[in-house]
Amino acid sequence: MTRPPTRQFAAAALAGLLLALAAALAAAPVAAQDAAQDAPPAATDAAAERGARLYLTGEGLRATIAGGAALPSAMAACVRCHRPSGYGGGESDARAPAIAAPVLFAPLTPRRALLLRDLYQERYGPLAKMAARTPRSRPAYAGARDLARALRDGVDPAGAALAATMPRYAIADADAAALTAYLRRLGATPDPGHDARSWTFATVITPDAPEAQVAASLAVIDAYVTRRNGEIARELGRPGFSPGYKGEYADARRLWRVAIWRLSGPPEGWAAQLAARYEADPPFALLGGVAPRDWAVVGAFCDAVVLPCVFPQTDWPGPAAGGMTLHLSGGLAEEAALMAAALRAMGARRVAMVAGAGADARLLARRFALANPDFARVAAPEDADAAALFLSAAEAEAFVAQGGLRAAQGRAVAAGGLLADARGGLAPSLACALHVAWRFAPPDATAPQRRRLRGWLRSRGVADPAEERAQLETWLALEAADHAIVRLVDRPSRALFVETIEHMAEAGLDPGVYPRFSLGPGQRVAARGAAMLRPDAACAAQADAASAAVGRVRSQ
Amino acid sequence: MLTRRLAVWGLTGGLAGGLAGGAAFLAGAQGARAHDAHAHGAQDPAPASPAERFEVRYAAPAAPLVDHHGAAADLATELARGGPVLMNFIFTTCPGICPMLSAMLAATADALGPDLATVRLWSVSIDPDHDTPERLAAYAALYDAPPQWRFFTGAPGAVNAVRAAFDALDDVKMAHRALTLLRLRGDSWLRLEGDVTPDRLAQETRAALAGA
Repeated sequence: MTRPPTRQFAAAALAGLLLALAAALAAAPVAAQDAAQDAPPAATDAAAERGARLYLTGEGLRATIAGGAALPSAMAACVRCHRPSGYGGGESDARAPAIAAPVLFAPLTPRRALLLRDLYQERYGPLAKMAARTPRSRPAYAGARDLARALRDGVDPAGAALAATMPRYAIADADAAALTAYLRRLGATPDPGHDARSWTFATVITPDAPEAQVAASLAVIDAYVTRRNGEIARELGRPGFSPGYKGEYADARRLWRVAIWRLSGPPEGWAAQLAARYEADPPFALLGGVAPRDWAVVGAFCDAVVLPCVFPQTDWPGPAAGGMTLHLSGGLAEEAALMAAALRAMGARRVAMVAGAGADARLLARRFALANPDFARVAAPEDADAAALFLSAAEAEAFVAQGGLRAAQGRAVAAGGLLADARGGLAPSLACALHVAWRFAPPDATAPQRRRLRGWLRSRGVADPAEERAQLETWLALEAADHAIVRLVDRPSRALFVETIEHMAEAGLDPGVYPRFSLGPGQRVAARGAAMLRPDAACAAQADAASAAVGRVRSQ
Repeated sequence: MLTRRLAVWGLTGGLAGGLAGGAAFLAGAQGARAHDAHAHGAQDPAPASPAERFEVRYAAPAAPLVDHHGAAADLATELARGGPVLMNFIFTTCPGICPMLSAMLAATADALGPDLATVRLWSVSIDPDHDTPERLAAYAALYDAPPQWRFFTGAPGAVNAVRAAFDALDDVKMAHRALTLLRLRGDSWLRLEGDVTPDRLAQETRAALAGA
């Protein structure tokens, strides 16, 4: 420690006051003493840009970890552990603290609300929990010099050592200044979509959405929000009453508003409609939504305005990697990829591609043919080694009844998303005849959590068994958002919201609609375990069990 | 209903993580002690606390895996061939300990020098649904993985069988522990929980080579 503590705390107070005004800070007496504190104001934009690259890609960073091993620069990027939000994270016993502007450039003091999250509502190990119980405080980081010391020597502004997991960086003064410029902006402005009393969300309905699916989904939103807002209103009416420490999260426990954004006309016009709705009343996130034919347009809009989109219902998710949309599944394209792999495993070379009348079916068949040019396309199943079916359930029944399956030597693979009923089921007759690419939970089993959620839907009076999948997926989007919002406490960061859902998806969100359900940092498709269902010897037994199960459900 | 689900998450969160032995992953105040104890000056990272050392017998299952080159393999068959094997469990999008575990294995490979020729390094993905062989290959390239270092994935059932066999099963991947294993001989393994240094690992590996 070279500087006297009083000066440290003066700098801390100053930084706290002038968070958004880096230039003013550079002119302050304490900072002026440190030649390498923040970059000069004129260079701040360029520096922040360079800092963003360092933070996000680790480009050119050299770092070593405890024990002396070198980290590859991509792994040394700050974002890897401190996350895009800058609010940190981690797993098991490795925790990365928050370094976003409101935290780093202000004195750190223990906060009970965050402690409770760490202790009881996060997936961390016993050592991390023990560490969380140890109160930590430090003065504010005054600028680039403090940051450089932390990065190079592993000490905070008061000279106390950082956690042993923090790598040590050989970083140049200019890069430390660039990183500081970026960190001063990271999380400095609260993301829009909330006011003192409420969180605003929206749900997008595209014009091609079937009305029954829309009605069933909106009924779930209405029931969920009504119940939740009732609970919040009761809390607000009794300010001193805080069961379960809910008072600690008062900032996050605000009333919800969910706007319904019904789009109209062809997809080319959707972006303008979304922009107009967003301009008028920006939501914090889009929750659920029904866009069966195309999420790409909405997804591109969400990426452009950095708006989280949580679990929309769509068969065509569009490009997912790196975007703001958390997808339920890979959609029909994922099934087509499974079909192609299955046909190759069968040794098929000449493939009859049979597309039904539906627009989805024709589009999927076209994409399948383009993506798999090694299959020779033949018109009639009689001339083929195998058939690829893009058919509705009724069309597939007709294909089987007319002998198409025999003609294709008994080898027919089908896209399950086109065969499935709205409930998420597969007709036993088809399950017995076809190889089906299936991205949903096995049709002959019902997960326990699905039974529980059926109870929730019935008790709210909104259950629509014919649209069960849409209802469970809508519930899932709301539940994920609910937990992630509370996790924000008073840090309205959309990036942190997304990171929280990534972090917790595996730990309890699965509504039983998909075989497995999980996300991870940066992962964008939650459903796992899509597979080919094979027509095998056990098929008849399965069919019996499935029809018995359907009978049981109907009689409930 | 909502409150109850919150509570359930809290409880399972409390149970997660198991009994990781090394104190080096503490995110909090213990760093001061580690730093003071280090004699090489402030430019060096704080040293790892010594990992707990256990010798345990493990039998690997014949579960079908695939490596980052797309080659099929099962660890039981691989282990029938003698020689030290360094093994850890990672996933490619891991935000916390995997980058360090992998960096540590890479540095160990460097530290082994010519001895590396008779040593195998295995990293098994605990996120097999996401970690395809292609993604593992890209991850391997980040660390300039030598040919002796293979990254495995497979069906979740197969990967879980391997994890269970080595007592490395956590309920969710975000609760996964820092663990490094070294096959000493036969089915005898050195189990190192928490942080280890490349030097320590290279030294243990050389001892295993000498004893084999």
